[in-house]
Amino acid sequence: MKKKPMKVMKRKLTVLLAALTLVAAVVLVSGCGKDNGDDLPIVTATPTVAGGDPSATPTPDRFPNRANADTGKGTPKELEAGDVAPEFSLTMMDGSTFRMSEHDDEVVLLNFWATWCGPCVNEMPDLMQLASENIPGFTICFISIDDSVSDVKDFLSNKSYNSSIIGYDKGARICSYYPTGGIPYTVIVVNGVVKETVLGSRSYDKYKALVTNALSGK
Amino acid sequence: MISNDSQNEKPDSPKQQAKASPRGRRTQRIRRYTQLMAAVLFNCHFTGFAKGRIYQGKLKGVCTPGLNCYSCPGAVAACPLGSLQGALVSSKYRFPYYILGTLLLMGLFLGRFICGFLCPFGLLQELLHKLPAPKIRKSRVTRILSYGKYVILALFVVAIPLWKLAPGFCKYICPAGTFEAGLPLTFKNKALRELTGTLFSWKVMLLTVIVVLCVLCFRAFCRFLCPLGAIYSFFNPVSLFGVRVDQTLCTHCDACVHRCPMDIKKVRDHECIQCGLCIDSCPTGAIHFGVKDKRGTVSLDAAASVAVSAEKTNSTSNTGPTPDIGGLSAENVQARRKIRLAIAIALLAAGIALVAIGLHAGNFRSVMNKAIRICYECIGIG
Repeated sequence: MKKKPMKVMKRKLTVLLAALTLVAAVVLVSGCGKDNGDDLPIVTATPTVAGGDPSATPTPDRFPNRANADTGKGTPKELEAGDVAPEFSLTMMDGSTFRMSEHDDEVVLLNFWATWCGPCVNEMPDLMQLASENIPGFTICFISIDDSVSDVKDFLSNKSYNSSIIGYDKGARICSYYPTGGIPYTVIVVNGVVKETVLGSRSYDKYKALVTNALSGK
Repeated sequence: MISNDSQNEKPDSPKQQAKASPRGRRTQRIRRYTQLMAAVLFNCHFTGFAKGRIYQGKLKGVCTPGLNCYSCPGAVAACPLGSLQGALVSSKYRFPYYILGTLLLMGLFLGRFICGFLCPFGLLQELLHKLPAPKIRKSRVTRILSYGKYVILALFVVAIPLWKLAPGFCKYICPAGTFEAGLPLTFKNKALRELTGTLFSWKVMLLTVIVVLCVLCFRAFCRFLCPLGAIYSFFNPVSLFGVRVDQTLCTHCDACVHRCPMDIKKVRDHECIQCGLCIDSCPTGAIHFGVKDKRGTVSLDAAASVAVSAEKTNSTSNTGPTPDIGGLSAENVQARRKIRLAIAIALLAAGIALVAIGLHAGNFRSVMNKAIRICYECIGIG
């Protein structure tokens, strides 16, 4: 008789624990559970600019509805071939500024990397070699998603890389408009429109082929 | 080593199960529910599995207590082991205060209770062991092999991240990462599937071997390979919650050790995952779960070794008064409890300080950053 209430109490406790876990799980999923892009700022009700209008006349307003990482315009989404590359400006490690829209008549290779990412660091010399070839109509921009700019500075301090093509994405502003679940992540943009997205690292030959292909189809 | 050659009673044999008291069965039922709830809670981003995408919310800056890959599409928090390696890779730029403090606090509060109750991969191993197959029982060989996890901790979790700047355990070994992240992500993502090579094949092969081992041998990965268990094992003697032994009742019959499927030499030693299976085996009912020791006794890990040595001394000299508790004098018991308390307070203060400094230094963002934009190297891709 004495044990029964204890038994019932313990069973109730187990049920309560189970219920609490389920409630917590539901809260997490509905309230916080966000996958790629869901955690990113949604600023205006402007329709998604993915795709934009690539055939429009090249003017400063070539893509009037273009998403802009600097102003928060547009809804970030995972980029696919045919999407207009979101606008952004990035201060490079040498102090210069890279503005995406200024390269709308070129082939641009955007490489998202971090000092703690082995494959990113390993493919960097290959990409640097590609950059050093000064191919007409082609630009490379390395966008670091490190924890702080000092990490990038420390990393570059004993390397002879061209710091004018490496920038630090403070506050993951650009990365939020170029969402990815992992790095290395490379986006090849032709005339302001995404031509290809590349997950993971690639060799020099592969990148060279991608760039040559992009330049030929310009 | 195969089931019919040992004099020890098979720990999870039907004979033993039949002997289990209602109290013991209830404890194990609660443990199983807790394990299931923890596995669901840590991986409740269910849409991630369908989309093949990982969760990218701020919770990823918080670590789960058990081994749970943050690259898993369902994971809503970070893996402490993955975060530790990531932090060590970046330790050139900033000291990993936050993750060290987190591990210290989790170890201090729960020790390897985490392995027994809160580790999703531990649950998976136990379920695999339920599959019908010949079973390898603990022996001197498995006891020696159980030190393997300390070698892996030193080599793959500390040395390789520090010197080779790569998350050695995640990259080359972690079966949880392959099972929870590598396989689902490559299954759903064609681009990632194309990236898989020799390294990924190695990891899948290793996962297969570990799965087979877990079917044959109780918690094979946990016992022989898991570096997170190795980290928590250092805290087992001082952890604030877990299995306790009432020394006034303990007769040192070792029934608990024989019952335990892990390679323990005594309850709450570094191999004890505090699952509570031994509670039922104790003929005097000396083992229980608790925050502090009953009736002024000390935990077995602190007292038993001294108790045994005191007993030996008494038996050889055959002089002096009989010790009061488990072979210890009341003064010794008090002194040992004070030492244990002092260590716990010092660790608590150090843990809180490390977490606070880490948060101030932006370590939380650092952990989150690595857990939401994973480096594919971590799951053996690229």
